[in-house]
Amino acid sequence: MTVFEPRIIALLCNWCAYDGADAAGRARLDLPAQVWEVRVMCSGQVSPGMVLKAFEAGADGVIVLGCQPGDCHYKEGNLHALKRMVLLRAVLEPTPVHPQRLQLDWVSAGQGHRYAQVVNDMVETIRSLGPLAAGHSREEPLNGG
Amino acid sequence: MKDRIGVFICECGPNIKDAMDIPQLVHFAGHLEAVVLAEPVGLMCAPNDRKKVADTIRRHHLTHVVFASCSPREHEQTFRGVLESAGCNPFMMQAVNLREQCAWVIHDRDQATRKARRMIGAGVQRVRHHAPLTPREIDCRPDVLVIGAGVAGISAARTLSQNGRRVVMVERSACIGGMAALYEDLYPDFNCAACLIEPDLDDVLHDERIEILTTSEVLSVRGTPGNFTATVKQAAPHVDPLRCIGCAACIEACPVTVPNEFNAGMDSRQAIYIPYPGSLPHVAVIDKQNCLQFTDARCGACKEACPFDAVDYAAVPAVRNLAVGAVVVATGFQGFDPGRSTRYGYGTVDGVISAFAFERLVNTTGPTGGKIVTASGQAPDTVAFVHCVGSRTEAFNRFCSGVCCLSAFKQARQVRKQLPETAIHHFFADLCLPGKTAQRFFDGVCAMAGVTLHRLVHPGAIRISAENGRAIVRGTDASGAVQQVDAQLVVLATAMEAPAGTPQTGRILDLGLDDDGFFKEAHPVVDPVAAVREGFYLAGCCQGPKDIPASISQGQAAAGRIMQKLIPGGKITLNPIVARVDPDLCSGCRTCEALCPYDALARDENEACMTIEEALCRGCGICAAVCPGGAISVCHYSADAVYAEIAGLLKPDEK
Repeated sequence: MTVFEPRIIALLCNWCAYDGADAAGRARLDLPAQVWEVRVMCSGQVSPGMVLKAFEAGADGVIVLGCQPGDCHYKEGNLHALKRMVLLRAVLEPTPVHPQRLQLDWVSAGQGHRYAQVVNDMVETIRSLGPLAAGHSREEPLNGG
Repeated sequence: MKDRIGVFICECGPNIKDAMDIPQLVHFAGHLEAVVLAEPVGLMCAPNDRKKVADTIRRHHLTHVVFASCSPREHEQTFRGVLESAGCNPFMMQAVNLREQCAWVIHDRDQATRKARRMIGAGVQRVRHHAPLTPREIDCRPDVLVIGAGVAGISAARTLSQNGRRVVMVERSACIGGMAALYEDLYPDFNCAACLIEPDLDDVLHDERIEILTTSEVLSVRGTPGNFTATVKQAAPHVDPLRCIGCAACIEACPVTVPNEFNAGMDSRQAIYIPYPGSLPHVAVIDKQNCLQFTDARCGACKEACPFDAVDYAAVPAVRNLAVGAVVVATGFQGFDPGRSTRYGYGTVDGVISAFAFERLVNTTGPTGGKIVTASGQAPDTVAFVHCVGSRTEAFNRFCSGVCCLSAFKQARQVRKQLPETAIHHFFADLCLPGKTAQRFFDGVCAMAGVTLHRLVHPGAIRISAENGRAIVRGTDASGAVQQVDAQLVVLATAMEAPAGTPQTGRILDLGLDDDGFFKEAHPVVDPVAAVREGFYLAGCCQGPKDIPASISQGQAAAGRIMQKLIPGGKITLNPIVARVDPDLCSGCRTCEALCPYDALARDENEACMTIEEALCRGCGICAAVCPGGAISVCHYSADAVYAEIAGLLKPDEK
């Protein structure tokens, strides 16, 4: 039996989160192989379309990572992201996409360990939710069982 | 022309090579749609491999390139340079971060190779959506705005002017010179402060290239490095500086008396006043909050008394726009208000004064003509100095100002010089004696007769109370014993804090603050003079407590940075990664306008659509994300490009 390996898209802001992920690399931390990073200029640049596109294309989870509140390179882009993701999660509520499949968090440049923790937690969350039926075949049994 | 994509996979020495199956990746990449060439490279950032890759790009007429190597944060610029040297537009590439995001963090070779395939596939899909971008160049303005006319701002302005730059100085108060101009003797050699500083003040006042706007404040600074527009508000000049000669006839006529803040409230001034003897520019200023003409609409005594017709109650404030290329922020510091803690007895116990008040007390232009006396006019028999007031405590400021210990010891020597018999006591938990002169200076204080040092268990282990008209200082030492001194004058060595208006100034100028409330540097170690906003520089105590020479050095350093960046007649290159509006899709709803952090969007009323001022746009993409019509796109980060990358990553794995 195949173990369910979630497919997760991580949208990282260029200034903090992307550098935080690099810091995890420089520290040679263990990261899950199922998290795939996409660089954007700011977490505030992440449109609902980008998130929905990821689910449509077969992602089991999407995590948006921006600068810590107060540290946004563009002043308050991360707070716009926060408002937007809260709304988007409400929009997902009646759909087959469980709102918890969309997460938002903050990782500052240099916070490699925090990045590792956040993406590992994300993998665990999505593992417990199981694969998202839409967009890709669902041969794997739920919960890796 | 058909897309001809090249994929270069860097082995990064053993870093990437040992972590994944490079031949498999090369094979995989070579078979992707539109890829005409896939090659491994030993070390892509090395000069010989850069040249080899550039030659390959040229030879194979590649239109797009994917560099699968290290983090773009490290070498994106390098690889853009490779494209440029191959005659291609530098933006026709995508960097795939195989090293940090794969080789270094996925320790299973098979899993790492699988992820790398996805990443390379996504990079190939994405790069096809990249378009050539050409950075626009705009003229730069070599003129500079300096905010704050203390020693730091003045040193920046003079250095700039000496190199032919025009400078506008904006100073909130009525006079220039800042705090240092109010001191008597300077550490460590007891040089007369006025003798050292006033010639510089005179210089800037008469410098044709330096314009000084006193009683003024900056309302906004818009624009980009090299091209700022600063809006400055000048308070109404109720005394015309071109007519007033500082004769003081108005002051004699004024019926209003208020405490004089320039002497720490130790004497009084009129509602029309000259800040202090010798203050520059030497003209009278009206304190509108206390002037009867403004509070009661009646009086007119000063206007009547002025022999030069310089007083004009009807004068109005002026708002000016200044075109500058860079900004030096030199807004200085304020002394900690010891009244915020009851333990110091400040304001309740007679004879307790701040270190700043002592500077005025000992100053020949101060309230007592330089005589160290108590409020009752007597020379004190005992003077106590208390260190670390408001600093090194969780309650107020965590930091050590690094200046106050030496200032307190300087003041002790001033006491000794004037009052040979007076007992001197210092209460401190630790001493901060940095630099090449401090220890020798301190040894000199210790060698003086009648000086007693009391070491406290911590900076706050002290209490000052009033008994029989005297100030009783009680400090607790490490053994728990209380050391008591019965003083007539207590001088509090107060922390140097960021001025109260700093958060507001930070908002206006878009500058970040550090944990202690000072303006944050671009980098505290390697870029301590630049502010977080590009084109802004910090000088003096607004960046952190420092002494006069350090403030002057930082002012000069800020000027140097500006002269290096802004060359008269030179050009400024704009970041080409900016947002663009498609006028056919835009309905002009202005949703984006309200969210743009840089005021870069405006509505073109003729076309009923939004326009972007490229010089202001920094390409964050917040506007693109909120546009309900999908009319805004960020160059190089278009929704299509990001979608293509996401879809590429999620492409079902072909075994």
